[in-house]
Amino acid sequence: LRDSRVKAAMIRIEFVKLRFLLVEDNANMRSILRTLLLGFGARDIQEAEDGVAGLDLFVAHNPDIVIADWAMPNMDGIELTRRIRSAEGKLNVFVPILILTAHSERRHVLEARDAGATEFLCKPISARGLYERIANIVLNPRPFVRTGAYFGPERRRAAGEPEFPGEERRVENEAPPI
Amino acid sequence: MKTETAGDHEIVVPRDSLRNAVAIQRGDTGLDTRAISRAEQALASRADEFDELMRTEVRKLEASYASLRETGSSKSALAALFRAAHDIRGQAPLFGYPLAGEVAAGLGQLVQSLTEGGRVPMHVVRRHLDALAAIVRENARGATSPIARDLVACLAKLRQDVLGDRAEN
Repeated sequence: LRDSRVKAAMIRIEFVKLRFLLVEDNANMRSILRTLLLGFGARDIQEAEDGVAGLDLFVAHNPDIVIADWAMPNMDGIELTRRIRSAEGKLNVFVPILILTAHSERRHVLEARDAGATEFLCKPISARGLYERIANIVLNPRPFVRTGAYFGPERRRAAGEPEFPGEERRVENEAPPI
Repeated sequence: MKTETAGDHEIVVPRDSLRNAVAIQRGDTGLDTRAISRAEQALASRADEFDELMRTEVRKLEASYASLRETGSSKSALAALFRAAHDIRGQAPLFGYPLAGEVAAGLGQLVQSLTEGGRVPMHVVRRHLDALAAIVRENARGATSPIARDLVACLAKLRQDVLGDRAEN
């Protein structure tokens, strides 16, 4: 927050204005997630128990944010992400998608990223972890990139990947103001 | 929505439809984290349910294992057992049973190996299920129960013997 006009300001996410689609096959986990979202202030929360039902609700309700588990029967969260990103017509292919999973291995993070996921959250989840991911989605929207093989949010460089080899031409390396 | 073409790719800047969910209040700084406290309190108010939720997950795991035995390790039964173990791995720490989460993670590795055609003795899988059931039955919450910790270490050694380098501890 470098703009002097908003100095000494607090940023609040108005969850009540956001429509959520929660796609998770485990009823206990769905219930926990719903509790957390309600605690944040969300009120519009649609729930689906697998990717197929999730896709139907995505079409019917046009959510602002999709939260999907990775491992589900019928259609998992990664396939759901691919289907949403490649949807046709008036559907919101840019909808932010947060993938939840107990997989914490790097290859899984990269696979979710390459499918077009916006954020990734490892289980066990916490209120803080979930809030921070959603806040990042709302406050830092990323442009989308379309190549021959990929359509999704601009991919951040993953840890361990080579840095840009060219000359550093930016005046400063600070993150841009929100 | 703005679209630019740059070399072999196209950059699309979608309309920022979530901007109207951001409110800026003067007086304080940073993110409003009171929402986090409210959510944590809402979760804490359900703590009495967590033991029963864990028991539900263990019953689901047992049912998946029974189905696996009945179907002769069919692909769908293996997938269901993996998901059941994976669910416990992801939820157990939240419900106060981190050691059950570790056992479930190990069970997931075994089932993954079976799925990929590896040779895993069924009694090793069974021992993981028994350990999970015991941890929940004995209410071994937290990570301090010496018996539960021994059990976890013993199972890790078993997996090392079965999976070799593929075992993740």
